[in-house]
Amino acid sequence: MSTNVLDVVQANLDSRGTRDVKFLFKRESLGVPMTDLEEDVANVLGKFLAGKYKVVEKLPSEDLSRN
Amino acid sequence: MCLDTAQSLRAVYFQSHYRTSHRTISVNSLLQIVQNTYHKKVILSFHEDSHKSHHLYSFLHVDEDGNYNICLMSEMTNCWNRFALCKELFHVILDEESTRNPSIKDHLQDYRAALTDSEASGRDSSKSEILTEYAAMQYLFPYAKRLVSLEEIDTRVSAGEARKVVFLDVAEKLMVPRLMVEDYLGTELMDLFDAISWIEKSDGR
Repeated sequence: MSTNVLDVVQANLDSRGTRDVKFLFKRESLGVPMTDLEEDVANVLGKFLAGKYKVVEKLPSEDLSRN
Repeated sequence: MCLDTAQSLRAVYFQSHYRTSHRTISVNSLLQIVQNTYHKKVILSFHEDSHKSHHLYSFLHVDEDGNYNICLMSEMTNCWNRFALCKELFHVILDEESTRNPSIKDHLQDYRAALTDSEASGRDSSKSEILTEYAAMQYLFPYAKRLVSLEEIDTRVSAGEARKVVFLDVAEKLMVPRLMVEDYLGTELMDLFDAISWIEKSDGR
């Protein structure tokens, strides 16, 4: 089997000693081809592992919003 | 078990974290409870990408030191931020070795099969994705309250209000995504909770 983008991210996770990853998927993701879903997850996790996120202490607001 | 935990955490919230300024049950308070009571290190962050360009709302990453990194995709509504954080916090609370799966690919395939294939029950890691959602909804919108809401919705719809508008109104009062409110007031999930006689344990606050 060829190495895909998720394999690369998995190797990165393994090398860092990652113990577990869980997800909250959109309902519509159930209809997405598995290869597309894997690529999307790899993209998101790859950026996370590259530090492309902002740490916060808590949710900035729990008030009603629409966006 | 997951529902019992959610119910007991609601009790903790109303006993020691409730503020009159809280419009509805607070997920930031649940974050505090998890950090203070369970002594688990939770690091909350926002991903640089918008949820709009991806198939997921959030994820939980448990690192080699046992820290729980909860990452929410950007540009979600506050209702989705609350629900996503709440669901991921229940992963932290209910985390056990048996619910972990070191292979992302295997987890994705097994989880999808558990949701779409009636013959597949799924591994514990997949079940935990489902059970933490039940727990999050019990924390945010307890079963007893759902029963009351259903009566209110039926009354308002009978009086001529559009069903979608009424659901949105209920969702906004709870600060829970409308999609989740519709799902959890649907026949399938109401029947499931009814079957396990959850009403006896659920509060209606």
